[in-house]
Amino acid sequence: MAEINPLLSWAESQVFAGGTYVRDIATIAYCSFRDLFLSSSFRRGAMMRVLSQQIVVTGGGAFPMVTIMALLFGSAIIIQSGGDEWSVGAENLLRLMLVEVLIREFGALLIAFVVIGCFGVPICKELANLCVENQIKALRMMGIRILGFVVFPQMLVVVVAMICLIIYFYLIAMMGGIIVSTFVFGEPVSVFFYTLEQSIGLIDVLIMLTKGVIFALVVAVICCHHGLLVEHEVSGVSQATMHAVMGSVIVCVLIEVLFILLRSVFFS
Amino acid sequence: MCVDRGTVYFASERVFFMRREFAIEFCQVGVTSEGEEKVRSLTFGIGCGEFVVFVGPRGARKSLLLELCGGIISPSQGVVKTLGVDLTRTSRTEQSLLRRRIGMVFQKPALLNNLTVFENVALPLHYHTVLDNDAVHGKVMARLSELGISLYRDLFPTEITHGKSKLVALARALVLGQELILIDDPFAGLDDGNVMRLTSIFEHYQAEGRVTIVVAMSNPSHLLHMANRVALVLDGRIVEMGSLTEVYNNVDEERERAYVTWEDKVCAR
Repeated sequence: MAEINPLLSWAESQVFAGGTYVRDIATIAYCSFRDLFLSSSFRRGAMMRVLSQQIVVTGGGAFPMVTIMALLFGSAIIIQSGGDEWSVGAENLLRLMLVEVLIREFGALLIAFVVIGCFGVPICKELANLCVENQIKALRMMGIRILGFVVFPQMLVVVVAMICLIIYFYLIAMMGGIIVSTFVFGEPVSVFFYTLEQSIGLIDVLIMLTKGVIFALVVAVICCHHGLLVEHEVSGVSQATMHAVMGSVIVCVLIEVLFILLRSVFFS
Repeated sequence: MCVDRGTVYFASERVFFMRREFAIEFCQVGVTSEGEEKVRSLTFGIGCGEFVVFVGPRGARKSLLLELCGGIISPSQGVVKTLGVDLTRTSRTEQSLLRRRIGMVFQKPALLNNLTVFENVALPLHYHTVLDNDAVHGKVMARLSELGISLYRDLFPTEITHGKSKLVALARALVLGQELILIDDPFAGLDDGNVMRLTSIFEHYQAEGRVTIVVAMSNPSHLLHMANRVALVLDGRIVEMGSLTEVYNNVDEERERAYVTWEDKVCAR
């Protein structure tokens, strides 16, 4: 029993730390949204400016990676589902692979990982540097609400970028699928689209986009949270970035698992 | 002893119409961080329109005192009232309203690197007022000209020197017509010309008497002559506070006296 006690107290402390973490994240998200409704036209203008700048600069950098991933992913799925089985009514297999794997399950998660790298890390580093350089203090001193002025635009950027990248990812994945099915297996394009039309429903698209938005919010808030925790040391920036990436990946995977469980309960 | 000075509130904008005697009031203020007592039982007041200099060696926690004055740090014990308001007991909206009347310049200039000099200075105006662009332009250019940095208006903070960045930060701290200015090490990185310019600006504000100026500095300079009061800070406590002569005469140790002397001469008059 004496051996179990330290384990229990460790588990208790971890649960407590997890609870505090979730509370902090939720507070940042809530306050950022609340500040949106208190925002003046200038703040909205600033948000739009940050939004456009980051989407163009950072999003532009993410597109080549997403293009390659999507082409390979779309092609690989068709290759896996093709071959000998393609001509003997393997639409079901295609449906299974395309809908279950690409659209419902892992596509959004894959893009979430890309977003963590391309948007989450820069956001975390930017906020951490603002803290180190006293800029956050200066903004606070000017009476500027940090969450509304700094954090919310970042959340908006990540959400918009996530949705754009998900749509782009699926379009390119489809293109990869068409290329392989047409030029490798010699199937007409119409068969591909027919199968696709039969396979994908509105609910799949909604689930995919909902997951995308949730992942984006989680990534943005966690990265902002860790960025704002940095105090004076420059060395804290890299640590905060590492914690932000780890936290974002873990929470995204947990949300993915939650979605799978919910879907198995409600849509099975 | 803290005395309630009969604060009068008017409608919702209570922060604006508060009657007060002190711009800053410390009452038994203590700050403890990570088990270390950084400030202990500090009680003093700075009157409206006063020009006060905190002087002391590096690491004496002068910056911490300034941050307490600005309400960035909350005291562990006691009460700090800035412009008559205890910032720890006010809502975020009231804090925001109050803080637009306080300007602060940190040791690091803390300018936003993705905004130009002009945009940095215009930031508080855009955020807190509904002025049109022409009015904002006029106010910002007036401040930049006053500080002799209007030529740099379109440059980014990374393209100008540290001293110039400090002046931009000061312009930003003054642009809303703030009533209380807190400045940490104002002359750091400035050349003689800019030091003179800054000194004349301080003199102007001091003569006007509308703005309360609190300066923290490590190296004694002619600002000590200008100040209404000087506070000698050591290890987070105010060893002596009063006119320069009083401080000079009242401190015993030569080491402490060195902080209120300037250019190898006794500055005390």
